[in-house]
Amino acid sequence: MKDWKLLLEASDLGIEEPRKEQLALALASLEAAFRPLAEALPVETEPAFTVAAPREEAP
Amino acid sequence: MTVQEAAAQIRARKTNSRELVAESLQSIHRLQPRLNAFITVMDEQAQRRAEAMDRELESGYDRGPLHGIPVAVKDVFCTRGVRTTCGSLLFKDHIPDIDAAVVERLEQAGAVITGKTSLHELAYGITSNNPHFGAVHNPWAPDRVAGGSSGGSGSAVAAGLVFMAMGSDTGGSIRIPASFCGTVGLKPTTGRVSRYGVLPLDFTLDHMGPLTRSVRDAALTLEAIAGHDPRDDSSSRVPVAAYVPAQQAPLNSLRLGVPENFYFERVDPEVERSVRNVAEVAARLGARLISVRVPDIDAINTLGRVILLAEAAAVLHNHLKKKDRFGTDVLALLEQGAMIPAADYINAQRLRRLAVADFNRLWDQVDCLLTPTTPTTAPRLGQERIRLEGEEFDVRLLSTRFVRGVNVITAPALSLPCGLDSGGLPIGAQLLARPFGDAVLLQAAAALEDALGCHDMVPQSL
Repeated sequence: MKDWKLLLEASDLGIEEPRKEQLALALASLEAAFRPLAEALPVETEPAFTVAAPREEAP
Repeated sequence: MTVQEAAAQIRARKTNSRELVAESLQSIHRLQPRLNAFITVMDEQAQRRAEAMDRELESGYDRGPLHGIPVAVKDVFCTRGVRTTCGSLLFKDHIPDIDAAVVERLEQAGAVITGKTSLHELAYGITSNNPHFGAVHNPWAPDRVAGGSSGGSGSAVAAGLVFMAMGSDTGGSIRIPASFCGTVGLKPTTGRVSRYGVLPLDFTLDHMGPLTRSVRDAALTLEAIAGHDPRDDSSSRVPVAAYVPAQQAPLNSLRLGVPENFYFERVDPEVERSVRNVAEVAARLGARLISVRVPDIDAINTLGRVILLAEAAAVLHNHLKKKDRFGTDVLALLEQGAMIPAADYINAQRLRRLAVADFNRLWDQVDCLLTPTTPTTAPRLGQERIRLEGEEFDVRLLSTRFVRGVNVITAPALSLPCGLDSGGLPIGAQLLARPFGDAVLLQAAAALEDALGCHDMVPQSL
């Protein structure tokens, strides 16, 4: 797990205590839920939204 | 009275647009101190337009059921020359020089916009307890939240101030206020209604839809606002169907999914009882109830949160240093979003593709899925935690539990009033259908509404 408190300190968001602690807890909780999902992703899965190829003009 | 009933009265010359709009404006001003449902009331514009709509009808030009009907739009829809605040100090003096596509289409259909409804700050929350423009109150109980983020729209429709009010829904923001205020709330299929001219909360989860007093009113509104718009890249070219269901439409061929897992867990027992009653009513109307296991909704909610946090932070990144312009809850969400790694955001969009595929398999088994809209009725203003089944839950996370994931999977969804709890507060049932199954969804909801009779429920506190 990431050290979210340290990452918040290093960010340029200027977050003071005690909000830093609260945000770190929220981010850690989200990471704990999200990490296993991301780790199970098949490598070939593309994002739901991809860049569309430009349409070829008919010659 | 519904839009359909008002439209019939106009054509029977029992009333006209000027009278309906005058009554609407009078009610808005009378109840504004109690409900705070509006940020801006457009008295003069609405009266002028009502006169014009009456003249058109008198000359034989009929634009359809919304012609001359007083409506409202959430204050995220740009209105040319009328300020559009998004419930935020950042936009408190923002006067757009365009109309949102939805506003254009409502006006083409003859609707009269009476004002801009209140909302949760930046449409980013579920209480509409706005630190800058004041809290929106629930017409059923003024000490309760109206839900959010389209709380003003829910409150205004439930209180009878307007016949329809537009909302936006990124993770339940139409359906939650509909559930808490006892109105119908429709989140159409992704791409069905143009997002052009709406101040965005995010890029891939935002949807526009109506809150109304009846399913058929939601359907006729969808007919007016749906369709391709080249100014919105996500706008679909799928043809617009006839959405307004017939009276007494049968449910004989409907396969109605009733979830075995997730949607009836962590639910107030009174809410569960009411929603299960909807299933029984559907069965009596001829629907085939099919017990189904739904995909992992907790996982879909999680990836929905990652997407929303990151996209909302991107939308508002340039304003993040102006901390005094934000309420504490919204600022905390934006700061969380600014910390989401790019790889996590992209992986959430990859997981989204799998979630859509999982649900597509479910749509092979059922036509609609029935769930509660919210696990509880409206919480009290200022309440941050809810106790349920012996556990404490965060109000925001609990209230979005059944609705957030629907925005991820692009499906249409509708909240339908299905009863009152023992405290006299409305309960909402949610129906989902496959993407672009909006017509099936509305037909099922209308049949259930006819049988349940809950659209006649009116808040007594007013």
